[in-house]
Amino acid sequence: MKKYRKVLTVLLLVTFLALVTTGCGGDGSSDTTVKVGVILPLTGSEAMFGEMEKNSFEMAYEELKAAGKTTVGGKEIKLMYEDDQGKQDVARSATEKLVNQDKVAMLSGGYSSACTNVIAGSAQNANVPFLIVTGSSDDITKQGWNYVFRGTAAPASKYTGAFWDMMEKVVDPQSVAIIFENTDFGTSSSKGFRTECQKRGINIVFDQAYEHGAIDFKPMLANLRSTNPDMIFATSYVMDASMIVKQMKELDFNTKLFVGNGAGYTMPEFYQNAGAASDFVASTSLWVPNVTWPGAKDYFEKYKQKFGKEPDYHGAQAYATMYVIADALGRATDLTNAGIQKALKQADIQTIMGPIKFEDWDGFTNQNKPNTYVVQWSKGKLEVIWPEDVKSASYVYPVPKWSER
Amino acid sequence: MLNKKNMLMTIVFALIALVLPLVINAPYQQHILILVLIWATIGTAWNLLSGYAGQVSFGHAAFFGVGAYSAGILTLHYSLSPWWGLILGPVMSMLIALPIGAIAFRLRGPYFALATLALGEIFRLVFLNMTEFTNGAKGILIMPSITSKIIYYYAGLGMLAVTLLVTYLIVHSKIGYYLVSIREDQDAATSLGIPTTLYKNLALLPSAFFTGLAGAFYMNYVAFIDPNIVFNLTNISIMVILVVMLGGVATTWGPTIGAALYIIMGELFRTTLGSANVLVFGVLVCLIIMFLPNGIAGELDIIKRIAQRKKAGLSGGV
Repeated sequence: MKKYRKVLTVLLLVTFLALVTTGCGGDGSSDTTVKVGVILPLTGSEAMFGEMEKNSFEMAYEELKAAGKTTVGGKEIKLMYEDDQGKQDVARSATEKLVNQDKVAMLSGGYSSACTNVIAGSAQNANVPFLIVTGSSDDITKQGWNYVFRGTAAPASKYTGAFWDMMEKVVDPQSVAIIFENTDFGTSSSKGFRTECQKRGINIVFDQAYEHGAIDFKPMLANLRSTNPDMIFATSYVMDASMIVKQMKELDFNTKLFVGNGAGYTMPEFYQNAGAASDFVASTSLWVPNVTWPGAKDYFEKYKQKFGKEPDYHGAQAYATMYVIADALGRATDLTNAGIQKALKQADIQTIMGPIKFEDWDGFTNQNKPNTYVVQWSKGKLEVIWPEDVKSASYVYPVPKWSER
Repeated sequence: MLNKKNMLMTIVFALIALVLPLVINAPYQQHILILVLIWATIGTAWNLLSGYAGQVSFGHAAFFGVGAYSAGILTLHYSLSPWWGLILGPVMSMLIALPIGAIAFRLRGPYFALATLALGEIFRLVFLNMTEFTNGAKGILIMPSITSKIIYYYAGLGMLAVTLLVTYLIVHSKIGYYLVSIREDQDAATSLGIPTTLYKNLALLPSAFFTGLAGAFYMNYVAFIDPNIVFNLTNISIMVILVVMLGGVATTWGPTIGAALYIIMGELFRTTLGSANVLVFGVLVCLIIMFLPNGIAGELDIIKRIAQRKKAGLSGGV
């Protein structure tokens, strides 16, 4: 019947039109640029972080450009951003586009663990080097994938290096409670923490996941209080993090120490939302502006001035990653995928996140050994309290009760 | 039934689909086509239950996710190729469809929709929390053994073809007429002696089967799943509804057209419009649904009828 023909015509027209249009877009591959694909969540629920990372990439790029480091072997480095919308099949589409159509020399980006997993798998398949910015699920660098590199991000289970050092020397808790958001990051990091507790014979009295984005934590906190732990270890993003500490204050629930596992607990928004309840909350962190690595403070001030917002470690990760990219491309003997892979493998560069080298250790491949810190909020300021040689303030432990503040 | 002309068009259509990846020999475009095939399959499967039988499901992510996890768990726990999931996945989806049907078919209209929505979410939470068995939120990551897009394309095409054929045969058999009668007036259908619950199940089971098949295929192709992805309410359950509404509810080709439009437009906007892409896409989808309420395929039928100035036949144009 004619219906078929019409339907068919429309379908084919649309398909071809779309494919031709997208096909033309990327075919301007000239010999004067080295393309670097950057996949970040620029829309959707993670857009806040994606935006910060994109800004930081741009900032680093401009600085490098001013220093003449964005031209390698007579070619200009060109950053091509793709939005993954925080969805992993879109991340896959973005990877396919960058690799096959734009023919990028290497990939970077990767915010959520799910998206990073998918990008890493596709990049490894296509033998295109992929330098991860944030995605921190342990598994990603445990696959033996030689084209996947993770420099500025620690595996989620290793966020706690400095923290355990401090536990041994200062806190020595007898009982701990673990709460975490039910995501890849939350599960990975609490798993690492749990194993470490068992190894050290610390009694875990409470261990519960909660739904990411929940609003009422009081039932969980009430149960938690009845177990009376010395310390609480929490993994949450920013809204949940502020809700939890605020509701603890409302319940007048005191512990000797509340430790967040990076993410929400170190963001400026945490203080803005939680207000005074944020005081004395400690957190593990991969980076803080007043850390002693050269350039860290400058980056923080410059970003704040330029974009009117304070960046956190996510921005620093992107900023440092751009420097690693420029360094590797500058050293690569030839700008092929294999050449860049080799240059990345040999990287040894000082960044605002500390020195970065891609090593194979503990089952990880091409994984930088992370520098970690313990920070503590003090009247809206985030102070480094551990390791002691880089601290910006002394720790407060045990923290004062709510009623005594 | 298929008449000669009809058959001819289908063959031409099939031939074009067969040579398409050879003409467009670029992995990125082939990737988009594979996504279209996956969504066309899910759409066609959803259409059988919700389009023809009128039982609007907001929980198809449950079937999709169970299919995907069947393939993933085979690899995770039993070190089998995830391709076996293409057999196990649909069967598992059908098995879970039985209790879902038993619960949800007691309800009608919006209550049925709400029940399926809740059931879909229950599956997400169960898979998220059964960490020993499903790896929880960490998801399942596999390294695919086949990397050639062509193979996935043809496998996906085969999957869609089977789905279309089975749906077509069901809809054009006695069952199909019973289903439409249930959609139009369930009480009247019951009064005529149609065992409505049985026939609703006869729509649900193949619908779950093919959605599960698409899920297992998705696991093989994308190579990473976690519960928040494959049991997602908005990105799976609601998206399939949009895909079918865009293409045409209760039409043979509607879901396929809808999937092609939805995926290709979404990708075009994403690559060209920067951060505004989701907004523009959303507005456009709203406009299409407002002005072409029967979807592209549905409205074409009306346009054709007006052009021919003939007496209108049965609505819904199967």
